[in-house]
Order: sequence, then structure tokens, then C-alpha cells
Amino acid sequence: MLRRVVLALLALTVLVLLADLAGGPTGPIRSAGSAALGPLLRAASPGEVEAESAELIRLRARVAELEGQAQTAKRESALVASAAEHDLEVAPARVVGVGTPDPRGTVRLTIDVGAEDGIQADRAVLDGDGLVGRVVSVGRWTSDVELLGAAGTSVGVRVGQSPGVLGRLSASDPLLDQAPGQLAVTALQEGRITAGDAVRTLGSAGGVPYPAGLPVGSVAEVADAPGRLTASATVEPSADLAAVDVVGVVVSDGQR
Amino acid sequence: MSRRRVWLWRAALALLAVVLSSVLGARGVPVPSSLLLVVVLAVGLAAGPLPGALLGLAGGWLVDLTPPGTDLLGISALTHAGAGWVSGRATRVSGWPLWWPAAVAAAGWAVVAVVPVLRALTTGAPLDLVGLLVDLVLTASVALVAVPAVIAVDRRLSGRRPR
Repeated sequence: MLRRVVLALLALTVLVLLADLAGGPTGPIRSAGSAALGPLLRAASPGEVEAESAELIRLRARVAELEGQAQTAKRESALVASAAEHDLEVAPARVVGVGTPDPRGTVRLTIDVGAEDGIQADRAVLDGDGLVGRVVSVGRWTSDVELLGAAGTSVGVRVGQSPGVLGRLSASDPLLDQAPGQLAVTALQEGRITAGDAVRTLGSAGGVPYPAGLPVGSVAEVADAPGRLTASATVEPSADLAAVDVVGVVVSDGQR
Repeated sequence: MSRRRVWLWRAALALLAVVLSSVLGARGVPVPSSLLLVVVLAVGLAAGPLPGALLGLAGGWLVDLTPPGTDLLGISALTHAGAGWVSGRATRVSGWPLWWPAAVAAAGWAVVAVVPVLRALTTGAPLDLVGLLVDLVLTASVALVAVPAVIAVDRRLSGRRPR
């Protein structure tokens, strides 16, 4: 009996996996998971420090909490300044869950804002240092964010001094010798890319998902590939993607 | 009744492991990438390949669905089911040495890690080898401590004689 149940469930799981691989309509399954388990993550995320009987423990906890709040306020200030600089309206959020890290590191996060907070899918997510990723699905209370290093991520960018070389930012390029955490940029036109060049978003139609001019990173090393017509290079992201905490979801582009 | 109670305990433990992995990971606490794996391995060792595979499948679905989820639905369910089955095959009737749970955890970790590693290799993505090694050591260390405790409770609830 148990063997039949396991085999049936395995077959069902393989079917769902194949459907997801083929780009089938698996969104409702993810939405159901988000609706059922998202509130659990929100509830389990750290809140107020409870009063302890021992005064010393209470005070130490208070100091730690205040230090954390100061750090959070600092990050929020940087985020607000960055959003104001690019004339964007952002909804602040905190990371409340991380996906199972794969060999490239963490590529998916959950933040504590959702449809109830006016968040929509396919919006850019940034922190005080630069672009972090984009919202890929929105639950009622939480949203999932795909980080820049995720497989299949592709962002149009400009590299270097204005106007900059047009390029395509991706998670990896087989011709590059990338360190973990680094991204890859491939120029789409002839032009010179040098180490240290700033990489900024090219901008999408209507600013969705990516508004123009957001800092993405800087060129770390340019590949020495004589056979290629256009240059490619490794990119060090501006945001520390391994330690994202306070982020902002772009809810409106001020230019519209 | 007893069987229902045992499965309720296993499901609750799996849910706790999945939520803890996600929440602690978000706060930067060094935990294995899959605390669920430790629970699945313990149940596999305690009850055999089929219960291990079933809990791995169900718990893996929780990983796939708990926000932010996995980029491929069902991938954690299948790999954790495989790890649960492997751990069930590693059961020894005459008991096992103290290090056995760590060895089984390493094997289960390899089963869970092989698919993402192959996906990364085929797409040319850089592998965080140090991160993988740290995760393996963390998983084996947690298993060394937690697996015997989970097995003891599981066997007590299911009325099986402890070895």
C-alpha cells in the first residue's frame, strides 16, 4: 500500500516538474504555497525582543536591538537616498526567507511585502548599493525575489562612461573565469570595456521591470578572447547579494 | 491511531525544519541548506526506505512551496525522496557505530546536491565549492547530533523497540 502511494506521488511530482520545465501553468501551485506558508515565515521572523526577568539580559537584548535598528535605519536611509536619486518610489521591505542555496549561492528570497502592500510582479528590487533583482511572484503577504545571479536572468545594461557600451548582463558566461557571486556582461556592440567601468541598467519599456540608470555593479575583469567580435567581462555586483536585508521594491517610476 | 500520530509528528518536524532553514538562513545563522534532510534521513534510518522516501517527498514539496520556493517545482521533493530512500537502505539490523548518521547524511546530502550541481555545471555557472563543503560538514555535524534523538522519539511513538 505504502509503496503504491509513494510511486503515485513520485509520478505526480515528475509530471509537475516536467510541466514546470516546459513553462506550464504552475503559478497557482506556487501561489497556494505562498498563501499557506508565507504567513508562517512572517510570524517566525524576529519581532520585538521580549522582556526578560534578568535585567542584564534585558538590557543586552535592548542594546542588540537598538544596534540592529540603527543598522536597519542606515540601510533604509541609503535605500531612500538611492531611490530619490533615481526619482523612484519604493516600498521598503525586509528579507524574511531565503530559498535553498544552490551551488551558485542563494538565488531566491522572500520579502515581507505582498499584494496587500501594493506590490506587483516583475518590479525591480534594490538596496542602498544598487540593483538586487526583480519580483517574480507576489503572494498576499509576501513576495518572491529572483536575485541577479539566478540562472536565466538577463538584464540590459550600459557599461562605462555615458552613454556607455550596450550590453547584456547574465548569471554566467562559459568563456569567463567567474568567481562565485560574480555576474557576466557581454557587449552587444563594439566598444571598449575596461576594469572598473560602472555597469548600470539600460532601462525597460515603461521602467518595468528595470528603470534606467540603476547601479548594477562594476567590471572586475575583461575576458581576453581574441576570436570574439564583442567584449565580455565579469561584473562585481554593487549590492552584497549574499547578505541582502533591507530592500525596496520599485512601485512607481517618477518619470511617468 | 498510533500510525497517524507517528506521521503527524514526522510532518510537524518536517515543517519546523523547513521553516527554520528559511528563517535562520535569512538572518545569517549558519545552518545546513536543508535541515529537512536531517529529519528525512532520521526517519529513513528509523523506519526504512519507503517511509523515508514518503517523508522526503512530502517535506521536499514543502521546500518547493515555502516562499521563495525553488526555481523548478518538485525538484526538492524528488531529491529528498531519493535521500530518504537511500537512508532507509542504510539501516543496519545489528545497530550502527556513532559516526554512521554522519556518513548517511553525507550520502543523502550528495543525492540532494547532485542535481543543482549538474545544472550549474551544464550552464557554466561558477560553483561555490567552499560553500558546498561547508554545507556538507554542517549537515553531517547536525545529523550526528540530531539523528539519534529523532530516531529515539520516532521509535518510541511508533512502538518499535530501540536498538
